[in-house]
Amino acid sequence: MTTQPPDAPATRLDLTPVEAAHQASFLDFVEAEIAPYAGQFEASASVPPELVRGLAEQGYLASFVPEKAGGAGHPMIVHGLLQAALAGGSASVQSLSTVHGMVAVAVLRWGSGELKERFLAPLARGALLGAFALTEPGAGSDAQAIETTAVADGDSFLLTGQKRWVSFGQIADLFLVFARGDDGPTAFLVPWDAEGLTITRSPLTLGLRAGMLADLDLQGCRVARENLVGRAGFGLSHVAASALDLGRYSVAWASLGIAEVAFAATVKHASERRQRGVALASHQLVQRRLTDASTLLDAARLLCLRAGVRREAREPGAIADTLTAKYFASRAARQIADHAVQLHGAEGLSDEHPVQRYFRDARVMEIIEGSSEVLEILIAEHALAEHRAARGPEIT
Amino acid sequence: MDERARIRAHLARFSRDEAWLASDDLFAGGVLDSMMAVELVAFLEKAFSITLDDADLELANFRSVAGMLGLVERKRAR
Ligand SMILES: Cc1cc2nc3c(=O)[nH]c(=O)nc-3n(C[C@H](O)[C@H](O)[C@H](O)COP(=O)(O)OP(=O)(O)OC[C@H]3O[C@@H](n4cnc5c(N)ncnc54)[C@H](O)[C@@H]3O)c2cc1C
Repeated sequence: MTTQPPDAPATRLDLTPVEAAHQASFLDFVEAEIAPYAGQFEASASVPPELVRGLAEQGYLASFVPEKAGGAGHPMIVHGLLQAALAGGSASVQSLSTVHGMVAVAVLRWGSGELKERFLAPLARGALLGAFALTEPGAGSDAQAIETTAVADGDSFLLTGQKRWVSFGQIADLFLVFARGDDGPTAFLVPWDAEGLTITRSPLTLGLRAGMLADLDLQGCRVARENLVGRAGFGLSHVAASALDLGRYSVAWASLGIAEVAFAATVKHASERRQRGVALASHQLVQRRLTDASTLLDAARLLCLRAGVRREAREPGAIADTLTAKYFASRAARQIADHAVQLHGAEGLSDEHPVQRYFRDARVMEIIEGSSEVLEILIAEHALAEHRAARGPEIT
Repeated sequence: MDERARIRAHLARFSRDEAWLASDDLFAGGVLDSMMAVELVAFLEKAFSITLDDADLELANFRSVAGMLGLVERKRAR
């Protein structure tokens, strides 16, 4: 074993044996419980309750919550590997882990002692399912445009407005809802059965078809003051931003997971399928696609790993690394899945083959948790900031 | 580098304008947008080995270099 010099940069190219062992057990679970049924989940537009319970029992929901707070205490890379494994089986199922994790991290990071006491362990155990309600009919990429209002009323707030496209809103127990109050945007934990809250199904989407999306109609929905997360006015800048940061990290790894299974299917098919007397993989035009896919996959993997290493080290730069990983991996997943569909021919378009699902799910990854365009804006801002920082010694 | 200089060096990522760096409302004028706020939190936590929580979410703690210095000092005293 080589010894790292003490000032060696904290990055690496591969998994540790412990991480690899976690990955193997995640993949075993996915192979047994998720992948064979992913098509059925889509057909029924739902994830069965037994599977949700199974995920919870394995500690796979909000797996990053520290053990002392009731979670599995997975380090960030292990959490990422879990997202990749789940998404390789079913990106819809993985999206439950994304949004549930976003609610858990909001409570972990910014919840009061009392909120943590009440909600963190049940969220970590999956006894309560969380959903993230930010998007509105008039506010998508521009979260600052939310119009849902929060009006103080004695010991409560009354929330009024509409939320759209809330993943797993159909089965969530607890919604993290963002609303505008006197002090600015504020985050609230709203139980599913709160007075004044009506939950309906959203239309089915191209991908993540088993994501059980819901629209929320809040009409003077009463929420106890102690359910406010963080402080009034800090709902978007700190609570949503922390949740979205984790959401992007999860989606980056989920995209990697889709890219991995799409690539594996492609290599298998190109090796087995024969045209003009030889395997598809022997044709050089096919090899070009394989090269493109394999290069994209390698790069996506390294960017996810870099984001994970830096998150574990609590580096401030991990936030920008996560943006880059999500941006790149989601695009790579779509491109790799596109190669997969193309090389599978008609089979790749048939609903009996998973590659068309990989393609549809990968497409969604470019829109959720910050669309590619939104990330292009943020990554450019970060790149400019780095440039400014590198211009010379600090100014005092 | 002292604490003040470290905070200023971090902020210089967004602008090196002296008037802005010395201002008492860094969020005014749109140089720092609210989405950069979590990065500021991550920087303060890492640079000064502190952990912020909901009780620290006061605008005064983040709005100026002096506010951040005060926050760091209080967190360390705890
Ligand atoms: C399957 C699925 C699950 C979802 N789950 C959730 C959830 O759990 N919770 C939740 O709150 N929301 C959820 N959403 C909503 C999702 O977060 C939004 O769709 C996303 O933020 C984009 O917003 P929008 O759809 O309103 O598109 P818009 O914001 O209207 O954007 C439309 C297009 O314009 C581009 N665009 C926007 N602004 C700019 C700009 N400044 N410059 C250049 N281009 C720009 C966008 O990139 C996009 O391509 C989900 C969506 C889907 C499809």
